[in-house]
Amino acid sequence: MGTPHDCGAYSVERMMEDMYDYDSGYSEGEEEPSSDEAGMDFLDGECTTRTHHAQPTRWLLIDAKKLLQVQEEALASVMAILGCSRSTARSLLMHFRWNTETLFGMMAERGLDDLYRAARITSRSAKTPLAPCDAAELACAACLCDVARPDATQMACGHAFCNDCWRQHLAVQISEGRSRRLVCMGVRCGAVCDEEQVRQLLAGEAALLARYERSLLESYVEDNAMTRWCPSVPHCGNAVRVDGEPHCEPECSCGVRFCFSCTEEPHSPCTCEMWKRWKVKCHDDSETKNWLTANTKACPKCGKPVEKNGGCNLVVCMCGQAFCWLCGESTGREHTWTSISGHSCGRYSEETSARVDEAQRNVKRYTHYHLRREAHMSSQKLEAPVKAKLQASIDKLEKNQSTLKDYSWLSTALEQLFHVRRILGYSYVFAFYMFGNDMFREEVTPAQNALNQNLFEDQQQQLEGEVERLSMMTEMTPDRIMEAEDALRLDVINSTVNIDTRLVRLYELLENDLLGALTLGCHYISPYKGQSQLRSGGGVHGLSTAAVGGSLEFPGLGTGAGPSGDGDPTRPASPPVQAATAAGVARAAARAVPRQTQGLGQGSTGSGHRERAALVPGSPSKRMRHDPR
Amino acid sequence: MAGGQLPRRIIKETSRLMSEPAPGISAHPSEDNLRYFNVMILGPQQSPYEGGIFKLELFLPEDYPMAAPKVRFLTKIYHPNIDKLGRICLDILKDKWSPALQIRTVLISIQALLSAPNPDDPLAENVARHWKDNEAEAVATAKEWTRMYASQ
Ligand SMILES: [Zn+2]
Ligand SMILES: [Zn+2]
Ligand SMILES: [Zn+2]
Ligand SMILES: [Zn+2]
Ligand SMILES: [Zn+2]
Ligand SMILES: [Zn+2]
Ligand SMILES: [Zn+2]
Repeated sequence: MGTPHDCGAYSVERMMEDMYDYDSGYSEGEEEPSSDEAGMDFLDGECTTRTHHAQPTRWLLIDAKKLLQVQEEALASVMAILGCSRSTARSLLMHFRWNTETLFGMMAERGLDDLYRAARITSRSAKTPLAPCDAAELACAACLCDVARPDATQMACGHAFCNDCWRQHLAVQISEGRSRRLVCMGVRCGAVCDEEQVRQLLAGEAALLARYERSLLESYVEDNAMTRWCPSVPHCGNAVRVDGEPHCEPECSCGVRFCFSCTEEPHSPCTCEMWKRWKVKCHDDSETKNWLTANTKACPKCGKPVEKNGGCNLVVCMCGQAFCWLCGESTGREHTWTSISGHSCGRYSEETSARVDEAQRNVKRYTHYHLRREAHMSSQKLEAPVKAKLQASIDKLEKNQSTLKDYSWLSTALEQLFHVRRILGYSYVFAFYMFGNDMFREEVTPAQNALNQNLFEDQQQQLEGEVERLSMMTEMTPDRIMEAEDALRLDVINSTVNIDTRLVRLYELLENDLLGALTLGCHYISPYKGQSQLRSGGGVHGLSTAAVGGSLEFPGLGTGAGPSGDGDPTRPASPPVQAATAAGVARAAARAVPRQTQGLGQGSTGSGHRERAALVPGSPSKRMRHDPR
Repeated sequence: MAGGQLPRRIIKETSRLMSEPAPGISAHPSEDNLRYFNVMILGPQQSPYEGGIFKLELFLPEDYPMAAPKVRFLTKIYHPNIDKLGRICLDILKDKWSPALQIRTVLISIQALLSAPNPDDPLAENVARHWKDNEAEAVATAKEWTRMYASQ
């Protein structure tokens, strides 16, 4: 860890908190989101990058049950404020894409009449009833029959037709997919039929009615600018609503994470446009890609294909030659994490290819970035089973061990590794377009571009070094976890925090200095959410928009030391793990408890896991188990 | 609505069309398909179509009257809202259809469209442009076509 960074301390605190309060003994599955707090269970997806995103981004996972609920809320608020019917409220909301703020804003500004006119709603006052209601019979203008009054229905606009004709009309409209705007049969009337009347008319037609209801319900997602269906295939049935910045990468409870803006796979830090271009490019170059994604590389010494068998980019051939997976260059046997972090192969040198012509240069350039990206993606894939295995043994250890130990440092590190690999992978796509002198040719001078690229690559490289270091350290067998020494534990924690800090800095550079400096058009990326995003899984309750207060303290941790608050992080023989952890937890608990008792609205800092744990008496929370006597 | 059986409404409409025809309009169901009508509309007075006799076909789809009838000109006509296949751009035949409208009202509306072409909502793009750029010349062409194609 370098010098204390102004926001580095924040990350440490945040991370330590998460570490200790993570396992409250509740799996996500048990935490079935109840509908008690209507619309309140926003996932903990707040933006903590503190860059140009002033508003924290929150998202709400909407499943079938929730869909009904959130829609009802919107309808109820409009009905209450405007004193209008449900149909009218719905038509208005559809017109304003379910944004009540714009709706009420327009009403305040222009009045009710204009509001109705804008949504093309015929208010009742505009029409006079055409058929006198007291007549015993009605001449239906659709079937040209006289029908008894009870067999006819008059809509709010005044038009009356026989029920058979209404039913036929509604059936045609619904089957043609016009459920969301079922209009009156009257000549040039266009008034939207009242929902309750539609339901009454279709009472005997279950299939039709179901289709109508489903379509109305889905309108909340499909006619809503801030809501998208989860792009999972086959579809999980969920949708995600975002409050605030639409540039984020929510994760559905089905496990699919996606870019909210373009519904493609998450691709931060590259922009949607960059990712779109990259995908087209990859598709065009599928031949090259096949070759590139091969899982083996020739040993620089003996030429035999060597398979990568771990996440770390240092591979060792059977002949004993060690080499770097990224560039294929041989490295010394003493290739450790420190020398990998100093390894400069991530830097693509333009000079080396100065002589080749433009087209060839482009292919080479693309190949370079593609390779780097693939390297991280394959590392991530290789690390996944390692991670799963380790996590399983951690869970087992925590369950069975009589002497309690805290292994969240390892879980957190593995999570971090998984996320940072992805970010690094996409950062090469970003770099390919950002510095490619193509997308931003008009806006960035070559000199500035070179400067930017240097800045970026420096940070990227440092980050990569740290990632390889962490990858190597966490490549341990399950039985080694138990005897993991304090020094290793601290190293892992430091590395995790270090990566978090570097990521925050990298995103600051991207958002503020690179993309933020562009003047033509806007280019947004999903912000880095820090450690908090790692566990923003489904079912988390609680309003957690408030930032972490500056008053929180972990003495000695601001410089990135381990959890042994009072211990000197540089001293290898730090106090026994057990005691150190207990001390840290005691402090964490002391801070956490008052907040919990204050309830949800009190600017709590973090995940609902914590609150939930405290609210359920006798929950096997780590805090209680660690209680220091 | 049962398949082959003709709804009461169509029977009623047909008999009324025959007994009280609208001026300048005739509509007769085909003998082998009672949903298919042979229509003739006289070009309205003081319109470029005056003196012409325009043949149309009208078909009542299965969903009629919940769905609009399908109408098409069979006689070639130079009109900004009628394309070269005889298809007509008229809102009541599309999204503004109402089951309370009838064959008679549709045909009267088409007749009115001949009196008042609307080049701002064109179906035949080039005819509409002609109409807007040089109405006198466009009207002359319409008259010429009426003479050439719509005269007995
Ligand atoms: Zn009727
Ligand atoms: Zn009406
Ligand atoms: Zn999903
Ligand atoms: Zn995107
Ligand atoms: Zn070898
Ligand atoms: Zn390794
Ligand atoms: Zn290398």
